[in-house]
Amino acid sequence: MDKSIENIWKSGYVNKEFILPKIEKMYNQKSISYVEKMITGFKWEVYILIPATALIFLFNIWLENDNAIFWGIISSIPCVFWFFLGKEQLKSLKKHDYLLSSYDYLVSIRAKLISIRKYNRNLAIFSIPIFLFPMLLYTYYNQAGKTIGEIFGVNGFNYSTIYLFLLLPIFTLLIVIIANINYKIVVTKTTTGIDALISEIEELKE
Amino acid sequence: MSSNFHITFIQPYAGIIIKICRAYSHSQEDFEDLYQEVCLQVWRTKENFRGNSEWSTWIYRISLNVCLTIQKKEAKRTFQSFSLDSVSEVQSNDSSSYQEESLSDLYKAIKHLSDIDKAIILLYLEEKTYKEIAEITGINFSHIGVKIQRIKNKLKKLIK
Repeated sequence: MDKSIENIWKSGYVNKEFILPKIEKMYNQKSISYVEKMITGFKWEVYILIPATALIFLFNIWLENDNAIFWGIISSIPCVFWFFLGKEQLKSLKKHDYLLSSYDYLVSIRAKLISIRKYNRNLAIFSIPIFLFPMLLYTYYNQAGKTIGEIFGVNGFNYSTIYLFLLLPIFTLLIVIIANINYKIVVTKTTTGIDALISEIEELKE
Repeated sequence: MSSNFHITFIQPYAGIIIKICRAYSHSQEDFEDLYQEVCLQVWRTKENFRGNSEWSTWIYRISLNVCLTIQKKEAKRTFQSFSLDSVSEVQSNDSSSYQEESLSDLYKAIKHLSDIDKAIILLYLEEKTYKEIAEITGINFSHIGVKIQRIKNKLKKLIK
């Protein structure tokens, strides 16, 4: 019997019926691993807040202001708050189990991610006046009689402390711009990959 | 992927895809993943097909590209041993026949080859011309004959 590899190949495939694996299953794994990757990215965003909190605190100490520790703690509060909020949001993302199909899974994760990003953007915008106003009020009463220049050690800046309140709209406007730009970048980055997968699955279903 | 596309452009060539994926997979699961990935890649890149070559050649090219890319990603899974028994083979629905056993042994031997040698021998066994093999693999046409001879000798030794 001729045992050349050519003959083995030919006779092995003679009258052979091919059983074709199903293609749809592939998207299940793809969707899960894509979402896992995104969640890992989100996790980094949350956990980077731990060193950020420490850095902000240390920066205040380094400035050697009066009540440096107190101001260090106060300035670190937003980071701590965002950290715990982020952790909760991470938990809620992980709760999205793969139940029905990759399509439903992606659609629900996409909606959840957008709602989280929207919530964070709005919170960032509203937190600025809420956080800044008591600080300005405290400074205004605590440093009564001084000029802004005297408070911050800037010569020739002899304006009344009432002008400190102008920082409120300025910072709020700034954060509105930054938060919106950040929202657009992050949401586009997040949804582009998911949308591509969703549209492929939709086409696949046709 | 529309069912029309699948019926017209993939199903008649499924044999090609299956034969190639079988050579590059280490388990049934691997095989199914590779097959699916190749089909999707064929579908995704259908617009790029210019008709300069046959559709079957296009399928070969895509199949090999996908298998080689995935193989690279899973480089850690390369086999250290050269014993045929150490290589698992994709289950066949017709494993009892003598032909299938021989084919299975051949596949086990093929799996010991380097990625590019696998591609060359698969194309050779599929009766592609040297010119086509050179086109698909990007290897110099004049080296193909010698390479095939060396690969065949290697396979014979492995099968013995």
